[in-house]
Amino acid sequence: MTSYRARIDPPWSLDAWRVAARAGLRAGVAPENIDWEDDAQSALLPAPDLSAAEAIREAPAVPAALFELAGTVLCHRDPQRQALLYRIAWRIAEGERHLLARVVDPDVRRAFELAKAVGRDTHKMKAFVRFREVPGETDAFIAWFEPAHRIVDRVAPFFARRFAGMRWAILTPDRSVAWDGEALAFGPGAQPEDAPSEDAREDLWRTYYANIFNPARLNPRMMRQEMPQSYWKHLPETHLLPELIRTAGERVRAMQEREARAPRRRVRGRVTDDTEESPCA
Amino acid sequence: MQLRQKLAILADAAKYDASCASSGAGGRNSLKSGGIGSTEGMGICHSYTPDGRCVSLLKILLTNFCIYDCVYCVNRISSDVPRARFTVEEAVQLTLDFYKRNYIEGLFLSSGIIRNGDYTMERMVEVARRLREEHRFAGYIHLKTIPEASPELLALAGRYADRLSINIELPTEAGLKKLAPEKKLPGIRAAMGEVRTRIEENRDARKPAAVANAAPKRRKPPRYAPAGQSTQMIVGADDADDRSILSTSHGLYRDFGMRRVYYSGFSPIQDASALLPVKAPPLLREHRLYQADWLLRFYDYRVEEIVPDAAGGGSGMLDLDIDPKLAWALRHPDAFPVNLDTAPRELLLRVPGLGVRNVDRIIMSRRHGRLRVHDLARLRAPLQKVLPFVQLIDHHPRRRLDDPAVLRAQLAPKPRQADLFAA
Repeated sequence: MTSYRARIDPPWSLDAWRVAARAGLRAGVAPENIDWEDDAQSALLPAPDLSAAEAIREAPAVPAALFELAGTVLCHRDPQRQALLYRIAWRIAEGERHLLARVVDPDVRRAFELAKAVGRDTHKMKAFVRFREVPGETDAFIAWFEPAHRIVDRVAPFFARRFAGMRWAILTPDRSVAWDGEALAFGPGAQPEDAPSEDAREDLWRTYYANIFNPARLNPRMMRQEMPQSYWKHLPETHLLPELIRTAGERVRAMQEREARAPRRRVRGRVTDDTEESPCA
Repeated sequence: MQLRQKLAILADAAKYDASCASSGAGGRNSLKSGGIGSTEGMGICHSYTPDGRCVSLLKILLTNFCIYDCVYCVNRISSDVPRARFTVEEAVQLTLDFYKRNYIEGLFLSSGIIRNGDYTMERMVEVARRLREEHRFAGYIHLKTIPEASPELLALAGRYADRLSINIELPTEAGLKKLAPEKKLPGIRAAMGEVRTRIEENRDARKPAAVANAAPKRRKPPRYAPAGQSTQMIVGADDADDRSILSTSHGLYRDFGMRRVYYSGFSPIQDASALLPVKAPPLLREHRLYQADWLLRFYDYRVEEIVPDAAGGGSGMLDLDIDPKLAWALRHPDAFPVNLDTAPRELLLRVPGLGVRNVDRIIMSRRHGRLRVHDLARLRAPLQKVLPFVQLIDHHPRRRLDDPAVLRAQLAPKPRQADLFAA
């Protein structure tokens, strides 16, 4: 049996994978005879491209759910992802029509695991991107971010829907995207220095973060679980963490010691700051 | 006073509000309006503080001046804490500035009562109005509603906010009388009832049929609090037991269509009153109440099943060492083992260690063949907890269910872990 190689460009493209997989299925090429190339690595032995394989049958019906799954899985950096997806498509085409419902099958399980990791990374990117205002411009923002997977294209529309009225760009090591108020434009990767190094509002944000935290409920294990340390470098508020955790016990003790004091009956004095009106009037 | 100082004071004062939910507002974005903001069903946690809690909303008080004297509250009039007050514009700008940098999903605005309920509520509604109308802000807004405010303000509040909440504060009326003498249960319940009615009327009026039958060209009325209403109960400040807490929750879900009841473990505050307990309740108690609340809402348990009364051999409190679902199973060994290949969904939901998701997965995959232990392992079900209660083609718990006390000792986490929580 002839072996083939397949190359998906860009590596997260569902359309490109779909074309390749379709050619493979039509030509009846078994999964073990395809070498899916990923990024820099390439086959040791030259082999014909999968698109050159001769079709021997109509494209078999593959459920839409597989393409939905594939669109997510392809964003994963696992070099085996394309082969895994093809193996699933092949097994469905060869008669296991309800394979995707067999969530305990090792291939299906693995695909869902990869999809889950991509889903999680997508969610974390929506959460942890931090825009910094471009100095001297109004409502223009840039963020530097390092997602675990190749998800920039997948996440960008979310930021467009949310920040339609601003101009913004998100820069990552292997891809960037910009929004001019009307359309998304994708481009190559960038450097951290290409984003502003600070933002005047970050100080206020840190103030908020430090004060909304309740030292009486310290639980850093839970925090790390939800906010993995790999994302911390993007978050201005995390610089405060060592200090907040270290002093939590002290703050609670200080508060408890004050309990013994008899509370004053009324608030002392009137407001003297720049409030609109005296609130106690 | 500097903005930064105000923020420090008014965020600090807001941290006893447990809710960080920013979900349920439906789909909305700013592509057409050219403003900013979106809500897409699921909320996003933009950060986590070292207490393990999510930071999703800018949670602030408009002011922590307050004419009330609720003893559990850090902002009560007799408390000697620094006071501050945001102007409406400051609260609006802070929300926008944080939102544009992707720090938050929106605003959760609460306030101490200044002058009177209406005056305070009007300022809060004005913040929401400016965000929506002047800045085309489509992010999430949660307004903590003041029960004494007039119906007109309540109507406006729901027009701009996604979620409204009115705190029940304490599980019993007696507790409220003792600890929050100025707050009245009938007024709180009346306001909750009013919000419910408005939400339901709005839902009906927005149904396509209702709009079509109305006068021609009539547009759908604007949405009213699309993310519903919620409430918060303080746990451990009075002597209400878990059974009365959960009964109150059950009533709140039933009578007012609450989306959520939040439990806020009473936390030590400065200048605490002598009426309060000396020690905070263990955080684990709050955690168990949330688990029990989940069983009420998604697993079809009744309050009496979760916390049996004295006649049923219960103390009125949830076990701290094991979760309420496991506790029920150990009290009812005769209901097990459940056969995973044949049992109906409602029985699968009663198996300790199986959540709604895994139950649905089991039902889906058993159409394609019988399940084995290694299939359960692949679903990442906690086998140690599940296996004593289930039967599979290659597994039967045999006599393990004969002695629930022994089984309990095997399944309860080691005490050391409980100490961590109690800290």
